[in-house]
Amino acid sequence: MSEGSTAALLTFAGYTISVFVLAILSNRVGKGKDFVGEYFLGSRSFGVWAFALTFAATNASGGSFTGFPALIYTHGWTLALWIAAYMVMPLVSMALIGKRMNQIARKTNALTIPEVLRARFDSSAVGLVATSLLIFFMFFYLLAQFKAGGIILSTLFADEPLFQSAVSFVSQMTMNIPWVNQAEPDYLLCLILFAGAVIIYVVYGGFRAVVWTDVMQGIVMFLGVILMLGMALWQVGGLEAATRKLEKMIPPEHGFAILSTTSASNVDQTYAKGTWLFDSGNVFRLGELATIAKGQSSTEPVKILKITTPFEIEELNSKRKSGRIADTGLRVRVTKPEAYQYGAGQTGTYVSNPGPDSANELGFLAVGTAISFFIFWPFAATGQPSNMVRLLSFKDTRTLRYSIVTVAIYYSIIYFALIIIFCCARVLMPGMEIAPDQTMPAFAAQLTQDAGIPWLAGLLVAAPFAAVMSSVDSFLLVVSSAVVRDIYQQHVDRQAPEKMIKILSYSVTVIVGVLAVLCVLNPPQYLQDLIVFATGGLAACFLIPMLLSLYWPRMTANATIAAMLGGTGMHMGLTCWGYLANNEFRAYSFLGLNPFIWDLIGSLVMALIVIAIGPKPNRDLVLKFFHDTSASRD
Amino acid sequence: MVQEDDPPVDPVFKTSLRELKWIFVIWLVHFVWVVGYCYAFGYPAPETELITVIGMPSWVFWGVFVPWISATVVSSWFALTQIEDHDLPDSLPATVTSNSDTQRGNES
Repeated sequence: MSEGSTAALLTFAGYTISVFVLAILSNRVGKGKDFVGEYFLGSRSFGVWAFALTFAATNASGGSFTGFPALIYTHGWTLALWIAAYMVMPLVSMALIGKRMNQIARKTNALTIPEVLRARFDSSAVGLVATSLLIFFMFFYLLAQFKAGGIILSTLFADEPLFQSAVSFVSQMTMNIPWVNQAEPDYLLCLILFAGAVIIYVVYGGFRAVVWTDVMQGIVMFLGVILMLGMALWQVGGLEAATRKLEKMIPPEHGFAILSTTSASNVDQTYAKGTWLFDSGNVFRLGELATIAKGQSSTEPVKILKITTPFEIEELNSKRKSGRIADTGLRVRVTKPEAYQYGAGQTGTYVSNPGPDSANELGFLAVGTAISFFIFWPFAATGQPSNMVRLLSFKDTRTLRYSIVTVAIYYSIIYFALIIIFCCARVLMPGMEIAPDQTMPAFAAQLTQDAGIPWLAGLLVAAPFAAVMSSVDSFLLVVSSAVVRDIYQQHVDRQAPEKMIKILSYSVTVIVGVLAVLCVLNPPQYLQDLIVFATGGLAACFLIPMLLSLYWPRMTANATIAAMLGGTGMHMGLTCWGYLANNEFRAYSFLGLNPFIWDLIGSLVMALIVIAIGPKPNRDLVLKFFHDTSASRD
Repeated sequence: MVQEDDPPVDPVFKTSLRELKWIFVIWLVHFVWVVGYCYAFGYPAPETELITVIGMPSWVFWGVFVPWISATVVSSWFALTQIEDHDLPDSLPATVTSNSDTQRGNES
């Protein structure tokens, strides 16, 4: 058993125990308080640190630690511009609607986002439409995060002998169970472990446990990033050295090749994905498992990556000569080279915009895309119900103000550090284009190995795990609160006793979690695209209706429904257009702009049309929400 | 829509709306700064010599890093000095009530 893998197991064990301890403490603190308010909103009692870190951690989902590092690695410094809108995100997403929404939620005793909208217009129809759309989009989100949790855990435990024994056991146990037996046994085991842990602590501790674990997860993420930053800069020789080397780099070439030996083999010979191949001074990396069948001397065409940067080729060849990288002795005949659409054969693309891109001839970040993302990040975050619901939980406006400062500083450090870390990774760790999503755990392992402290890898890899966990728990609670609070309590039994609500809340949380696990046993092919679909859909559906409901007295129930459906309809329409035009499950970027912008326009136009032709708003509601009725009574 | 005998405008609504306008201004200023600077200097012609500032490309330093610090400072200043504190109403126990029920509850 290696030191690193033992550390990974111990880290996970310690981490899980801490999460359960926090859930138990949360349960004790919440005893004696009104159940629904405590379970779904922690009795609106959170102070600065709890509120700030739960907001920051929920927003920094698994994507920040898997997808974002992969993008930096693949496209270089241009990601600084891509993510730049995070500089204003804490202010926009917290202050734009925070104080006003919290006030209305308290006034109407609303605990969920559909409930805020329903109460604002005294309209069940508004609540029902909001709840339906929220559950629809949120479930996709939940699926993606569960999948990410399973994958990160399986990476963490991959070399652990105890884990391998457990995988064999699971494989035997599930081989005859339909649907379940189609999942990879290591992924299945990790998914069950992950989902089990999250469901148990959410059910036991409710929103308070979710917030407290978010605080711990936020601290783990911060420490992990800071440690990685220090080690990466130290190993690369400083940021100046990293940027100068990055400038000299040439994007690699993807493609297919036939691998061959000099004589036919007596047995099947397999070569793992990631194996380095050296032939005639060229260096390649295997992009998938390759097999030379018994009696054959060559493989079928397999995916390869050709390294093209001279200093990388030199370093890899010297590692081969010194025995630090094994040489398979295979001959490599490239049958189908696939050069980058933008940046092929050029130096300097990793340090400038638009950044190299293997699929887009305009590069990774054209100016129009950069503009779109500066609009998308802060306003899409504002429109996410998982963020909005957190804005219902702070205890006073002072907490909101200090939390904005905390999150602004936290994001500045985390995101800028991530950019620097993975620009260093691009220089220190060649060939990760074969599996970019593995960049973070692979770099953590390499950094700690090279620094002679492999046990630290467990803590570093805990950071993305924490990020995923903090998102899953929040989404789980948002979906179950929508079912219990917005459907059951509103439309089935208004006078349901607390005991009944308690049982129902626990059951729905478990059922939603189990359903999500069953769905991601065999994740759909376009799961990543479904995440984009769900994120955009939620923001398109909720941002404009919520903003107008909070700030415009003329907003009406009909206009709110129209805005929700208008945003959703535009989102669906552009997604269908994208599918028809590009054969991808991705919304069409009309005029090169992010589809989110068109979604918002669609939502706003629908609201304005309905307001213009519809009846005036209810005067009592306007007085209640826009005037100080207590002053008139005084 | 506002009538003379209406009660005064809700102070939380009034200040939140003012803050909302300033948040848009802060966002817009940084949007113009970041996108404008990076468009002008971050999309260089091929073979342009790379200039670095504290180890990062100069367009990142002036077009992302410095505005990021500015945004953090301005956000903090705005949150600490410009966002007004208010006493938010206390919640009732979380039973389900219609809007009109809640209104009656608050008034009683």
